[in-house]
Order: sequence, then structure tokens, then C-alpha cells
Amino acid sequence: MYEQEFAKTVAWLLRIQAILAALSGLAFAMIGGMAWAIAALIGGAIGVFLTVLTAIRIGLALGQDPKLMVRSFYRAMALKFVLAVILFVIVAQWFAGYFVPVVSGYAATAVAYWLAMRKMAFLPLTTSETE
Amino acid sequence: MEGIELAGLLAQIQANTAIAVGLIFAAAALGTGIGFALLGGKFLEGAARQPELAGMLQVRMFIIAGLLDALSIIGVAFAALLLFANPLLGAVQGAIGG
Repeated sequence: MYEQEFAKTVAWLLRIQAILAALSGLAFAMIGGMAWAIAALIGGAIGVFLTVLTAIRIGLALGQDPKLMVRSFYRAMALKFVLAVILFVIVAQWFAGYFVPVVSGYAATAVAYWLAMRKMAFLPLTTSETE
Repeated sequence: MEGIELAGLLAQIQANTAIAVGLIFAAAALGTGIGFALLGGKFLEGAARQPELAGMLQVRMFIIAGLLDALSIIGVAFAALLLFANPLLGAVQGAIGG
């Protein structure tokens, strides 16, 4: 049951992240041209890729023992963090001139989590409260 | 003499950058460490109290963790920029022509 809710939430999150990345690409296209737009889209793609990876790893542990769920959650987050650091080091080392649009594109995808949190506030309450 | 002064200036910028990078890493590690510890602890607490809600709590935890991670990743990204392509050195290097 919660697998469906999780899949729906992740699909919604990815859709919003893609839209926000496209918007940031559009904004940077107007500010700095095509190269900056592509850089912003790459930043957005990093955000989307990391979300997909984390969601898959967490989703596979859904419905298991809570201890295993927490373990897989921490492992997924550690992997996300390490991959993000590697990707941003690559950007800083070889594409430093495009660092601002890349980080802005990534930050735009992070905004989707705020929107998801806002959406969560309107979801039904826990069973004990609704009973 | 002028060369020594410039070298001193560059060294000063690099030293301050190293301190800034250290502070960024420390703050990111501390913030995410405390945040994730609270998140995992509360999740286990909630799951122990109402095991049937563990799945729902995991979904919510995923979203909050995304936020928690994002800010520290952005901080670490800027730290990487300061380490590998310090823009603060650019002004001095531009002034000395190299």
C-alpha cells in the first residue's frame, strides 16, 4: 500500500524537479546564453539523478523491518552524498566557469522537496488521529 | 620585494580559504549528522509505536532527508569550488598578470 504512495510521491517529485530544472535552464539561457542554459540543465540533471538513485534504494527496502529500512535509508543517503561530492568536484575542477549555473540548477531541484513538504501537509493524518 | 608581498598575499588568501573550507565541511557534517540522527531516531520511535505506519513514515522521511541533504551538498559544492578553482585568487592573479 505504501509502495504505491511512495512511487506516486517520487513520480510527482521528479516531475516537479524536471520542471524546475527546465525553468532554471530557461532563466540562464536569457542571462548568459546557451552554454549557461546547458550548465543549469546539467545541474538539474544531477539533482534528478540523485533523487532517482535514492528513491530506488529506499523503495526497495519499503515494507521490511524498520531496522532494515533505516539501514538502507542511511546507505542511500551516504551514496547520494558521495556521488554529489564527486560530481561537483568534477564540475569545480574542469568546468569552474559554469559552476554558478550548475549549482543553481541543482538548487532549483532542491526546491521541489520544499513543495513536496508543503504537499505532505495536506495529506491525511495518521490512523490514530483519524480514528 | 614586490614578489614576496604578492606571494604573502596569495598565501593569506589560500590560508583563509582553507579555514573557510574547513568550516563549511564542519558545519555541513554537524548539521546533517544531527538532522539524520534525529530523523532516524524519530522514525524508529514511530515505527515501534505504530508498526503499520512505518511505510508512510519512510515516505515522509525521504522528503525531509532530501531537504536536509540538499543544503549541505550545495555547501560542499562551494567548498569544492574554493578548493579546486578558487575565484578569490583570480583578482590577485589578474593584477599580477598571471
